Amino acid sequence: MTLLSIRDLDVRFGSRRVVAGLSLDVAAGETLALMGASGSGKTTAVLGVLGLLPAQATVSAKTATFLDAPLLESGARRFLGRGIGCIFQDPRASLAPHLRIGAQLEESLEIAGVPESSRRATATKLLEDLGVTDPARRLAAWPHELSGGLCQRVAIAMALAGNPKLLVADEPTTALDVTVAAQFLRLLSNLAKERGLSVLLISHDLGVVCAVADRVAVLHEGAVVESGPTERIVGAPSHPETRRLFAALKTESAP
Amino acid sequence: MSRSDGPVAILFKDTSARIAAGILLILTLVAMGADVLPLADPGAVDTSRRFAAPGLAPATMTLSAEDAARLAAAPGLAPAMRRALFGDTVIAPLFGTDELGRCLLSRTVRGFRLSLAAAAVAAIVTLLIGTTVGAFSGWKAGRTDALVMRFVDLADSVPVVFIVIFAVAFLRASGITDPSAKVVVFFATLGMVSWITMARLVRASALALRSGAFIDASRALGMSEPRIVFRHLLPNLVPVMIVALSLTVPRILLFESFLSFLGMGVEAPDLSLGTLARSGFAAFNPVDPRVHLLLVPGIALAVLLLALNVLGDAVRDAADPRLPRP
Repeated sequence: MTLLSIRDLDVRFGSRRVVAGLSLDVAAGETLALMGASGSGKTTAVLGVLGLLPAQATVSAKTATFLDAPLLESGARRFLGRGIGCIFQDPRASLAPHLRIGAQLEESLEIAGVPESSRRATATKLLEDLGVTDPARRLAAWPHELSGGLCQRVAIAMALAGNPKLLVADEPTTALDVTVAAQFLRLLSNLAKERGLSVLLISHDLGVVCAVADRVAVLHEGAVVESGPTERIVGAPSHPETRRLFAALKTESAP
Repeated sequence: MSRSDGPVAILFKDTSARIAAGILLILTLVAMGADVLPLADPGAVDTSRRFAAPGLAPATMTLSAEDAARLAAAPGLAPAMRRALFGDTVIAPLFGTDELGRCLLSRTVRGFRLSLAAAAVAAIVTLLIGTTVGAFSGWKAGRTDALVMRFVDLADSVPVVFIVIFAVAFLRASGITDPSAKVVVFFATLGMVSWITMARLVRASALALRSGAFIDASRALGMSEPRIVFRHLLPNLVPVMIVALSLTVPRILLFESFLSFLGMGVEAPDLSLGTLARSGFAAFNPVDPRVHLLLVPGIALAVLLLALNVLGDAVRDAADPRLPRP
């Protein structure tokens, strides 16, 4: 079953066309990695579909649907925090600095429609499920008191508060150090398996993509140039832009 | 550093904040209850004790027959409470007397009342108008922001002193002698100048916050715009609001003295710390400096400003959860 379906997505900032005819599908339960060099339009495309770009961007598509419901023209708003959860690059910066972890988690649960009486217990349970030790203490803490890895788990807990079917993760490991990132990736693939969660992963890290993605779509200048199962794309890329991107990523990660 | 207490608990653990809040509370209560306290009539002239120096003995005196009769005839609740509580007893001029032998303590308390009212009006106008304009402009950004901020520039470029001169001249020319009309003009002027710094600082802060990662994240979590503005943007503007207030309130207190000095603010028989300082300055001479006339209102103003600043600083720190706690 196709969860998210996008055909011919265009995003323009004035006369500049940042995303040009992008098409992709995310099936239920699969993890799709959207790869591409910086500036290829990965994040812009996803934020555009979700209606999270600033007003000066114009977003259009032949079709853009989530569970067969249209996403564009603020249609995505009713799915955010419910059917679709998002996590971002810098987990600490994406938590509100003036609210305790508990208050933020409970706010996400409020948006998801969880009754007030059971919010605290649900928040504790969510953190426990994500392997956070001593959740009661974490709930009383401020974001700046937690490590990056813990902040990312809290961010996931907030994204999972609405029991989403799709998790959008925009470069979730960039701000984490290597060991924490590895733990995080294990957690992410376990979650996807246990909850039957689809993940749309935006990344330019080959290691991350190979670790969690079922399929890869490679973006160049705002359009998908190649897509397919991870092993095939990474093992034998056919498009010249894909080969160039992988070559660049390999030299980048070499010591 | 772990911090389990809320902002209010933190604020009241801070000794200097407690002292400052206590001083402000006492000063406000004294200023508001001036009519109940056994203070001498600030306008009562006694030429037998001109320029008396401050002193603690005697601490209390009995009202003169004339003043006692005036107190007995005064209508209203406050004089009645005073008669019931203190009878004919009156506090002696502990802070000395001025060139007409009037009690400087009593005059300072009355002057304090007007200065506090000016500061309170400035704070309220600043908070209401300055925060609304600044937060709206910064949050909307783009063209709306440019338009609103040009309007703020315009308001900032109005020569306030001239406006006051016109307003006062207009009141005089139209034969309005009602002192309350003057007070309205006076406070309206203070309001006009007070909100601009707040608007600018809040706008700059809101502009920076609106593109912050956590605002983007709250949108992605499905929060509505009002929720983001009121639960996520405004609380993060509180520290800069307090900074702006602690810049504005002292400026307004000084501006009040300045206007009064020009004869366009408070006029006799009304009193403010500004007019008291001015008459102290007029009475100053090298042979017999009579410094208490200058020092008493000056110290009163300094204590008020210091307490406001210490409290403002502590509130700002308490409102920011990121600061490490001892």
